[in-house]
Amino acid sequence: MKSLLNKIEKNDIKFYAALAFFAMCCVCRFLGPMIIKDNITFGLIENKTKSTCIMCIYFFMFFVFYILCTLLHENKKKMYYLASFLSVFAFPMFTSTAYFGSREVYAWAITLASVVLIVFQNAEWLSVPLMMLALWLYPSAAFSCLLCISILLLCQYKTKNNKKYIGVLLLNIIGGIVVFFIQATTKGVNVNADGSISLKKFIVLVILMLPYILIGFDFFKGLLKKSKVYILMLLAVIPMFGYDLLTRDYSRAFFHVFVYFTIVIMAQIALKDKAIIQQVESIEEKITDYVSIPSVLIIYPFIFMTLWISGFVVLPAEIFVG
Amino acid sequence: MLKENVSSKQKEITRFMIMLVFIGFALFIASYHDIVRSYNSTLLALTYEYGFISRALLGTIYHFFDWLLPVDMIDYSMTLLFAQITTAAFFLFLYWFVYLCLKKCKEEYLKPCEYLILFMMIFTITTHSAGYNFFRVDIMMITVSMIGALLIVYEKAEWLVIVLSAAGVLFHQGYVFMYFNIILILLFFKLLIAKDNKRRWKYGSLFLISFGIGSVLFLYFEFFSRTNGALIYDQVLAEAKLLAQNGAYHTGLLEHEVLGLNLDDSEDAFRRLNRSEFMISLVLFLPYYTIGIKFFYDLIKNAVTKLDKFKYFVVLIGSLTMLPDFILKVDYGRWFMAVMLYYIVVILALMMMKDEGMERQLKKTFDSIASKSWSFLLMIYPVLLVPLCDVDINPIINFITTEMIDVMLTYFP
Repeated sequence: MKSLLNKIEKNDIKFYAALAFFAMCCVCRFLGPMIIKDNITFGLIENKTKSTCIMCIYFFMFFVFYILCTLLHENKKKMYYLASFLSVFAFPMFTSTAYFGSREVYAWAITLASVVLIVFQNAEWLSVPLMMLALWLYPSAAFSCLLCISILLLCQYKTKNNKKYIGVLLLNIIGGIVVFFIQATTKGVNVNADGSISLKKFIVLVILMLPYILIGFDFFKGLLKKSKVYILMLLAVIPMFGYDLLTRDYSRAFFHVFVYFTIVIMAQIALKDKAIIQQVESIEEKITDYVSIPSVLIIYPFIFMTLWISGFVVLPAEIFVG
Repeated sequence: MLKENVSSKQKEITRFMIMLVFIGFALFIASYHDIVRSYNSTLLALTYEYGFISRALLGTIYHFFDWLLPVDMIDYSMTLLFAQITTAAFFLFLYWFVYLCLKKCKEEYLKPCEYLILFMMIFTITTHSAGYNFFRVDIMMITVSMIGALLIVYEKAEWLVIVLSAAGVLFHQGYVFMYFNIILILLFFKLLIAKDNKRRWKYGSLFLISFGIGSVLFLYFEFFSRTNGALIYDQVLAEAKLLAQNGAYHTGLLEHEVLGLNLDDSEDAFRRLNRSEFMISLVLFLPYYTIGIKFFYDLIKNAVTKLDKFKYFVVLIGSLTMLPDFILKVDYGRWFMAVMLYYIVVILALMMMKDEGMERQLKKTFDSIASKSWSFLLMIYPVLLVPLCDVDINPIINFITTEMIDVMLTYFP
């Protein structure tokens, strides 16, 4: 741990300071007046203080994950890029009026703690109680967070060929299913779909995201040539996406797909999964061939996160001026 | 070799333009609100039918189409359609402008220009697509100044800048503070770098005539154009109602522009809001302020001759024309847009003119930023700052000023 922390460079600190400023600006941009002023209940978390605290933990866990990934990989610029990419989905999502206070924040904060343990390759077994807790608090996380952890453990088993990971994976799945059914039968699976974007907007969004879909297919085409195990990584998106579509929570579908893939790819790069590293490099080359400014790939989805999914703040002056 | 260079430059420009089309479309579709605000629809009711009154050029053009086309355009649905067509034309013009910029500047400086253009497009497209400034007369003023800049750079039909200067003021007298500086500074720059007396004479006279016409028109519209306001008020008001959504016309605009009433007192609340928002903007725009200040400091410092130092100093202070607006008027969102566009358009124009000092400095600044670990964030961050509004600078600054400060005062009175 100490040797890892010694690897932190001045550039890393500058990047994370800038990212923290960016996170702060996201909070200011997306927190609606309703959240900050009115004393109402949000989602399933009963009060604003609790929601705010868990949001802080959620942000903190993302930073821990980013720092760990950056320190474990030689090509820091790539990690900065991926961290920025993940942030444009992760930061606005639960700070917006529609999703602030959702219990999914608990689930993601806990999932990230599990991801950190897996990436750190230490006490991975802790992911079992952690995921059970996440599912206890937010049962729908079975379709996103649990899948994310399962795929990471499976990839670890494939790379390290250590049966320990299969054991942890099975325990995770069994524990997850048990908790999910207990919660589903006693309290029911709460879905706080808000419809912050309509089906029409979502269809337009899917069409506009075509370049990313093509990049994704290209990525997996190359990856599957290296190992067939990665098909599960791709297939995991089906229950995740399907569940969100069934519950008509289109914003979440958009969020889950991007966050899931980016977390898994970042973690696998940090864990030195050669197949994924090579595939990411090959995609990177192709992107630089076609796109003259690489940061555009981060800007593009962020436009929709900012102006559609997290919405436009109605300004008082607009009402005043008429 | 030359052919290879040309084709690689063209390839890069094509790649960038395709990318920009995607980004532009995303920005537009995500921020478009499908509404023409009462202020912008009311402006269409003002025409030269009622005399030589201020801000009436756009309305006159609109009424010309009403006369020309076999449809009744005095209706909100037609206002919206006209607004959509005009805005689409404005965006197309922007793309054409940036394409010409890239075509004309040297290949080794393409990248810095591309980043600058992307930054400009994020602000310009969202600001003029979102409800606040959709179909605002500002798009006409920007177009006028950009055409002027192109004429000056290409040195073709430069006499037209006089006509364009007049047109800008006819669209809105605020043009003299907001976008007139682009034309004037570029003319002055050309005057400073002119190598012979003939060119000095040409640019000197163009500068003086443009400045004179702009000033005379501004003074006329501000002090002498509202003499018959009471006579035409009812007629203008009736038409403004028809042109507006649900008949909601803009009272303030009519009272100020037609009757000549001074509405400064009613803007006191806005002034207070502006002061607070401006202070917050100092923090939120800090990365760009820092880069801008460092850029101009190095540009002037590294200039070899005194003339070079002076010409860059002129470029730097060109945005001071906005000072009266910042002090006397309340639309800070628009003023921010004008200042930003001034610097970007002038820098791009100088890059097209192949000004060596500017080329060197822009490349140096770009390389220095690109080497930083946080360079990605610098290009993503503008998305949080758009769209620029009018009285409010942007949603984020407004939220911090009106909501967060309120909450802080509750906790720490």
